[in-house]
Amino acid sequence: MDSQTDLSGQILQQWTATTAHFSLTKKEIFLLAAALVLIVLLVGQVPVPYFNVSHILLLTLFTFLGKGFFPATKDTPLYFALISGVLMTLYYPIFQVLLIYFLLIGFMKVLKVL
Amino acid sequence: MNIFFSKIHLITKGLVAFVAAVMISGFLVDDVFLGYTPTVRTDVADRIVTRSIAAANIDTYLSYFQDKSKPRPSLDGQTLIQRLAEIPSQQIVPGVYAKESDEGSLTEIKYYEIRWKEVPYRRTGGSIETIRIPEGTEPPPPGLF
Repeated sequence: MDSQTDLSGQILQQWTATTAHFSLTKKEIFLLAAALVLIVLLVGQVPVPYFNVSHILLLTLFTFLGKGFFPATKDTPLYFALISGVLMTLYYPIFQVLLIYFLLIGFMKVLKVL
Repeated sequence: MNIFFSKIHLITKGLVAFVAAVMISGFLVDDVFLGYTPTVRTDVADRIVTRSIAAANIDTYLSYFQDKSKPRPSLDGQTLIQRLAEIPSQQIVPGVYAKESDEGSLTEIKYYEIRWKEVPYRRTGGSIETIRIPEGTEPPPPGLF
């Protein structure tokens, strides 16, 4: 019984140690909520004036990936890239918007804005 | 004050990154990729060379300052037709003929001589439709219409 308690205590300790650094900021929670709303709109086929919901959802998912891949990412420039990408969908086809988005993130990383 | 200048510096770099991204994406869409799809153009090297030569040519920039309101000296229509009539037509594909001189060019399309072939074509929305194109020509890039 004692050895079992020790083992579960060790597992709990390890799990706590590995997940202790994981937390969500207020901006990330808002982004997550926005992504969930977009999924609901997409599934419910609710039209959003001027915007294509699937395109915005795609950009939101790439922003999540960006947050995951660049650990020291500053939030504001990344969300600036997302918002400018969303606005660009009004004027450019989605392929060009994705090119602009990836190039913008790349340049911001090179110029140490991110 | 230092914080103010560092913010200005950051915003400037962000704007430079944005403008560069928009300009480079424009170049990639026009000269590297085909019809807003990830397909790379087959003539990408030729296009880049042509663009580079045009960019290095001073006349390209001088043409922006030329007076475009001044009409270029040209032949009247009747004379041009007479001049072109003396030049033999060249067949591009069956049913399509073309001729040109220094003053102008003429394309003749004889609809009933054209041999058509039907090809599947993917439209902008992703739907596949069957279109007719003259034999010996390539269909338009997918997603263009």
